Amino acid sequence: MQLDIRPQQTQITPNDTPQAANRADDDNGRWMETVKAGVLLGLCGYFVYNIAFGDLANYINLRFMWLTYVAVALFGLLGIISVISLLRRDYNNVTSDHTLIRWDVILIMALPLLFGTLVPSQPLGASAVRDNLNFQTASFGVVQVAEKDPLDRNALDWVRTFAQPGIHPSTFDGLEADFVGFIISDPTYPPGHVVVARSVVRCCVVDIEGIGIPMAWAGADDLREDTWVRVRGVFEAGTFMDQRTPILQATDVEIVPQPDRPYLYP
Amino acid sequence: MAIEQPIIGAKSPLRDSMMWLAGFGVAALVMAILLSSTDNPAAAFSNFTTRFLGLFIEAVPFLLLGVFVSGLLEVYVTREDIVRWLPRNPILATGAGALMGFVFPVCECGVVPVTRRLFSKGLAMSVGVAFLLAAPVMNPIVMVSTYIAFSTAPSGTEIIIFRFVITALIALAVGLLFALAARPHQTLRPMSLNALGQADTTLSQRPRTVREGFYRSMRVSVNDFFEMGRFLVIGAMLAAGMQTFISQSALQALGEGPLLSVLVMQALAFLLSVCSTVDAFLALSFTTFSTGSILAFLTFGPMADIKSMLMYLAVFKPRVVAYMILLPFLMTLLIGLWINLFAAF
Repeated sequence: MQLDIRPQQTQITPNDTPQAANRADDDNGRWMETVKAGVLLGLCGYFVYNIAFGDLANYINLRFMWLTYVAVALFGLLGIISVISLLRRDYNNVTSDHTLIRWDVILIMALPLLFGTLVPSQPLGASAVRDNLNFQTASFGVVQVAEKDPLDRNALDWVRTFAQPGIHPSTFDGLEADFVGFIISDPTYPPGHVVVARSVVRCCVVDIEGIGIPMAWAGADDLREDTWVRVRGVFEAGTFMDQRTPILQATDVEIVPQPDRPYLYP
Repeated sequence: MAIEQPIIGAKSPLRDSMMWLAGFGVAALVMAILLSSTDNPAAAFSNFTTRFLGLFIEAVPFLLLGVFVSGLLEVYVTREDIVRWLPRNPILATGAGALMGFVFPVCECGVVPVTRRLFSKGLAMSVGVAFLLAAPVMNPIVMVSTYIAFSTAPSGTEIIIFRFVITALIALAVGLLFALAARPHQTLRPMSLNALGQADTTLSQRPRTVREGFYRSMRVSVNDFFEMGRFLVIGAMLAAGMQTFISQSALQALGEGPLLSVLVMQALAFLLSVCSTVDAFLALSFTTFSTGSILAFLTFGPMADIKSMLMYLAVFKPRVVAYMILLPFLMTLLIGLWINLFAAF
């Protein structure tokens, strides 16, 4: 056997030189800055899309819409700054306090964009509020019966009205109602009864609460959960889920499209 | 010629990345198991996504405002400015920290990047901690929202006053504890410490033009957004997951009695992670709960919830984050209990 005793020569490939390493770092930095600019401008575009097409109403109380304008302006500004740094080749990937922004960080920040674009936007429905459903509540404030025409009251107005202190449910007997809501059905409800519900949002969907009005109707058992309906009828006091409450005796139930603003704001 | 500075606190980025990705994989697995355990996985996933995006859309503008201010601070505020502005007496300085929310009116998402930047400028630990804990409540926006929410509610005046008094006292107390016991190198993560002990570069690199200064500050803001935003994203996902898979009504059903009601409201505040600018409106829905528990909700939540806990981890070492949650937790628990037992409102 012959041993090779010649001194081993290290092969220096083009990738091992300091210049090549710098070039690789430069490439990585440029890619990273490009993706960062993409995420920032993508999020800006996502907010603009939501504002333009009304999807924002699925997520927040529109009273706070101005916050999304702030987000659009700042996402746009930061995205443009990232693009300028790309053009200036000024994309050192190190923050002012010398920490690294890594690919995994950028990936996490892209998640809202991915969820927002890949999962169809829709409001929270029956499955989100059925465990947190109020038939009478004073938590949204109480309005006087006389303040609004009964036929103009929405479901929240009625629930507030029912919550007036010291008023018996039979006070509302014979009052006509006409409002829109979605159907919640449950095997524990009496036959021929469903709840016509709305979701109430103060700030964003994190604080969502359901309010509902029990409805008796001959065709109630055939109504599918989450179906949006416009109901008309008169109230009559009764017992629903061991609670004495006004129950809407529906005379007309019409299936309608989901409203532009699916939530009610107290 | 640019001088390359050593990257402090960037130990083994590959290992950190792998850990994050592994954590992400585990979270995805847990999510899949939880979804498959529900009656309707598709509806549960849709609910989770809507809640996650709702929380993100509501909170991210505040984070953006925070990193915007952080960038400006980095370029235009020097360590000497901080020293000059704050009282020399540590107790007065900590008190001033608790009131700094009136200068930087930010919620819990925006306050973290601002505090981190101020720490890197040499802000004292006690002042920064007091600011961090108090600012989400002690600012004009939250004062107005709390007033609007509670001005006509039963015991509303007391709740409004006590919310601010309790928050200020707890922030001051925790801040002073940090002043006595904590040193920056024991408490802050390396990334928040980097500027300490080094020459402040702000003065030597004063921008020559407004445009240059703005560009530099916004470059800092971009990186701060990514650095801090990941904690907001993960926190929002956790909060959305908790809301989707844990019944809120089941938690509320537990809320009877002077002690249990406070604990339940603290748990809700921590899990729901609602922004402090609007949490007063949410607290209104808990009218059946005791006044002490509502106050615990309104004071503990802005100091510690899932998303702010994760954002604190960008600034402090994990042990310190535990103290920053446990101390306000115990203090609000005791105060809430005392109000339930002894206060006549």
